[in-house]
Amino acid sequence: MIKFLHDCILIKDVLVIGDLHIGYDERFERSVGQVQLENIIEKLREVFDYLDSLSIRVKKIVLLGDVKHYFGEVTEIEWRETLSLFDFLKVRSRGAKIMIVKGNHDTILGPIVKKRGILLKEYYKLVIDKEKYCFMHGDRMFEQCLDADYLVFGHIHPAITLADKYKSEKFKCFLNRMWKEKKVIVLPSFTDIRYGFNLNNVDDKDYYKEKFFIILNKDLKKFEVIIYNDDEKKEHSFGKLKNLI
Amino acid sequence: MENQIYPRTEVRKSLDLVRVLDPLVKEWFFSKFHDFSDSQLHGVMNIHERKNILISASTGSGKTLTSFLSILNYLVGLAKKKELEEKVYCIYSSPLKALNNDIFVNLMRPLEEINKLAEEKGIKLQEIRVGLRTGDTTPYEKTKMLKKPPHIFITTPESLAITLTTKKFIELFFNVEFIIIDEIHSLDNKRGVYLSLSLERLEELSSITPIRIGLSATVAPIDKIANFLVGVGRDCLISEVRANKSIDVKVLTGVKDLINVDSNEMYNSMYSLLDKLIQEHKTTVVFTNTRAATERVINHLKEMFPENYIENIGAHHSSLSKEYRFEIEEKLRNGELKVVVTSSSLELGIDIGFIDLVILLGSPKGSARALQRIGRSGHKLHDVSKGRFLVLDRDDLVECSILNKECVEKRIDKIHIPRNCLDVLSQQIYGMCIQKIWNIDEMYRLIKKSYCYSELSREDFMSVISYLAGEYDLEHRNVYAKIWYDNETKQLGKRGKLARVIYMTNIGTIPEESFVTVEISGGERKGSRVGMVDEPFLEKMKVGDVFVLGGKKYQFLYTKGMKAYVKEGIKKNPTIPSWFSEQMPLSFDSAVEIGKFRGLVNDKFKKKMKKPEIVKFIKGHCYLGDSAAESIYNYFYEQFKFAKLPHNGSILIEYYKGEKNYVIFHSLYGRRVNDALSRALGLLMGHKVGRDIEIGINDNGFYFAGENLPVDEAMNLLSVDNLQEALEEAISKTEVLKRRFRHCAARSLMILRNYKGRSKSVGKQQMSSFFLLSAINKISRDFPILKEARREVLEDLMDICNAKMVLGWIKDGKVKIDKIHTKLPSPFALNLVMQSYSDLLKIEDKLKFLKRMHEEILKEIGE
Repeated sequence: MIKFLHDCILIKDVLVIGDLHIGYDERFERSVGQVQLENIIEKLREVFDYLDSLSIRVKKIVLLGDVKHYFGEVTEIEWRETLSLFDFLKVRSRGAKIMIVKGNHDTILGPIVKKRGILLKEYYKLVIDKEKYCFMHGDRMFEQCLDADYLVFGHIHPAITLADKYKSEKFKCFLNRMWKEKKVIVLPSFTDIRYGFNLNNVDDKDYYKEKFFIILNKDLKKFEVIIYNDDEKKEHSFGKLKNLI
Repeated sequence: MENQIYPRTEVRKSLDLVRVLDPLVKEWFFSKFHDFSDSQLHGVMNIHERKNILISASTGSGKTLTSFLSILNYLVGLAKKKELEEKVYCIYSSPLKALNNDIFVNLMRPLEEINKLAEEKGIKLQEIRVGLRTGDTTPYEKTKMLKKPPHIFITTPESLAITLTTKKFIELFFNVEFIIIDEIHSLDNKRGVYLSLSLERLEELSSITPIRIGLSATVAPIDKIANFLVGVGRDCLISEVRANKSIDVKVLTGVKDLINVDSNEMYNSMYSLLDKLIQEHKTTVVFTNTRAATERVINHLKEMFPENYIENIGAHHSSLSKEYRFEIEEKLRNGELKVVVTSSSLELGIDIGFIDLVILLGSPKGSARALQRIGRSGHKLHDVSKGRFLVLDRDDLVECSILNKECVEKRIDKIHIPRNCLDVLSQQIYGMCIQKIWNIDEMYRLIKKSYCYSELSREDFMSVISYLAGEYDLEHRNVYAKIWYDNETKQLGKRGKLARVIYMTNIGTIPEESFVTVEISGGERKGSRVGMVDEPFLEKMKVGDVFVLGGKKYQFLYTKGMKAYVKEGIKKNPTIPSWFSEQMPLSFDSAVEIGKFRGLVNDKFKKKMKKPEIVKFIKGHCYLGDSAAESIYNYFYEQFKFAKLPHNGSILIEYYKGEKNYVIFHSLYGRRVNDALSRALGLLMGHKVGRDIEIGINDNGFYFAGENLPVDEAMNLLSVDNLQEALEEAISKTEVLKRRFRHCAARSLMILRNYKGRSKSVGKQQMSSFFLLSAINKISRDFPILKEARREVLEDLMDICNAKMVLGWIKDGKVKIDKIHTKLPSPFALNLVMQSYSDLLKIEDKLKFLKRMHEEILKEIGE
């Protein structure tokens, strides 16, 4: 079954992590050091600590793409930090198998993954407890995935703003629903430096113009919004998106 | 060290001056001028006698010529004897680039004329060279200067610092004899702090101790400026040149009754009045308070009176190109412009020819500034300075009336010079290390000679050195050290080949405040630009907030790149105050004066004096006309009847429950003090209730909005002793510290502004700031740049010093607290709430809020 965690999910012993965008603000990183990577690793550490406390061992890790940020090149920081990330994952999970699904930002991820012998695919199919899962980035659909029971995406960095009379806060969220006879789950971005696109603006076509997503905006509104509360270690459903905005 | 007092100069006899003038110079001078001006009679001899001097006088008093006359005299003398050396004799620094062009013209012409005179008389003079170096100077021009050093070097504070770090150039300064700092009163900010260190570096370089000459407008306390000019342990003379010009000021309202008139009518009548005044005079300068207002005024004048304003109107502000500004200044000098509208750039002493009227559109927020602006009119020495305040609303009317009084009575508000700025220090130390290798104690001693760093602790100094040397764990984080420091040899120097380049391309103290374009996101007018807002405003906006921009209502949707997208045609009421560009705060001194005025009127209300008598009093007290005085009477009386009239002896706390729960403090102390008081109180309340609190701050008071506001308890807890602590915690929970930290980080060269020229977005910058602050907080709470950001917020942005004084007054009973509950907001409260800078004090934990929101949704669904 699917277990919701802090900005990621666990399907039996498969840990699924969304967009990372390592190297996002390079100028910034050059000035103050690897703050972005540290943020990612700290969060991962907490997730692994929590799983340890439940005696859950991760056997596979799936990254849903957009691991690094820059299209046309691999910057020095991206090299260094992406490799650090892979090494951390390998060590901390005690040797789990790492699979990466290619995101629209990962045009030149090949050389990096090759260094660590990690597989890079366009989409990744896996059977877990007799259910067929297909992991993709979310910018393109693949025919080969049409027979899956579950589709898992990243790409749009879902987030939602909740407000009362005096304040509002933006929260990352998961989206969940039956879509075209498959169960679809959309993961938030894992990195905090790219927090998320406000789903409150889902009707604005311009807002999502760049981020072409497999699922149309009007269908997205029917999705259930799930927000994870790390204090309570529990996720909460906030009902359908269309009722929240 | 504090409150050093310097001797004042006396007027010297004309004959004495004439005796020291070279015959050539004497002949030239009297061919142009009838006699010496007052500032010349105060200053010339002292400069000739090589004494440090600060000349304080209003514009048009011949200050600049005073400073140059002695120097020109000296140089001409040397030039005659062919003894002029290849070095810089005099450095002249001015904050505005344009001013330098202006001086160039005013200095070149006298030189030209003296040269011509010499030629006519068959006297051979060596060439006296004047050179200009600013950000616009080309490499070719710079090389030329090296080959033929100018004897008089004209520059800006930033360019001076760059020059000090350039190997070949600094050799020119080894024997500098005079340093002139013009418009020194405008350096009461980090730019000034920066310059003060450059001056110490310059003095250290030069084998001769240069004479320091400061030229200042009328500011207070003048001794502080003198101290700033000469630094620690040096003598200085002060020339307080009294203005010969008399002042003719009035307060004008566009309409008779500022309240019972709709905004359109008010607006139209104000522009009609503006047009009338402009037409009645030859050349007018209109001062607004923001750049946006400058553009607006010009557009409206052109629209409403097209026949009157075609080619003869212009704008002047710092974001216009240098060429355009120069063109406007030329036109002004030649009398080709009927009106120039400006925000602040024309305050400084650029010669703009003959102006016969200055209009202040809206309060200039302080009497020193008001006088400087009004002083731009009637440039010739004995003309009258004519100024008119044109008020925009009732609070503006009251404020301008008191400023009017202060102008007439020549009462000037005090300036504040920042001290111990660790970010500027970082940048300068870096520059010093690029220049050469230093001994650490020698460096510390030099720095402490600057007034701004006279109280720098060794601890703070060493923490800056640690930061620059890559300690604080920065090297492990791949942040490259900028200097090396050897604890054994006690020496320090630059590190890395890129040090100089990084320094040169990132130098400066002015933060990059970004403006964001606001665009319509959908519908018919999709893509239309509706205006601009600044970053601070944007940061506070929540999705769905309704705000007013350019008179229309919009709903904020999202930001993308450097744009904010909004929806128009909104019927809902604004949920946040309108945007207005960050204005100058009302000075504390003037605010207290307004409070006293309210107190005097309040007394008369209580004694049940009759209206005509009180109006007469107001007229006399503020030197007003009938209609203005009556408007003030009506405004005060309304507040008095409806609620209570707050004044210098009474802070009124108003409890009002509307769409939100409000508690409004009518505390008239200026925005800086109110900023401090409100945040500290807000924090103490927040502690008790665990929820966020919205704060709105204004010159006239502040307000809180929130579910639960235990004001009394907070007031009992707050004291002079815990104000600092409460404030430091409060600012860590709002956006202001993050933003200021980013600026300090840029000034300390921690974040480089220029790197690979990658495009930025608002979101990216906000996120980076957030992460940066978290990262630094984890390293150390006392990280020098973080410490400086806190200091800047508490001392420069806010005014913790005077806030403590106010708390003391409350404790001593000099100021009472009055409370009132109202069903509708009082007249004073309305303006306060609608025209405040709002901010949110974040107390509630994000996840607790999440839990709360979830419970509410469950309730709604009915589970």
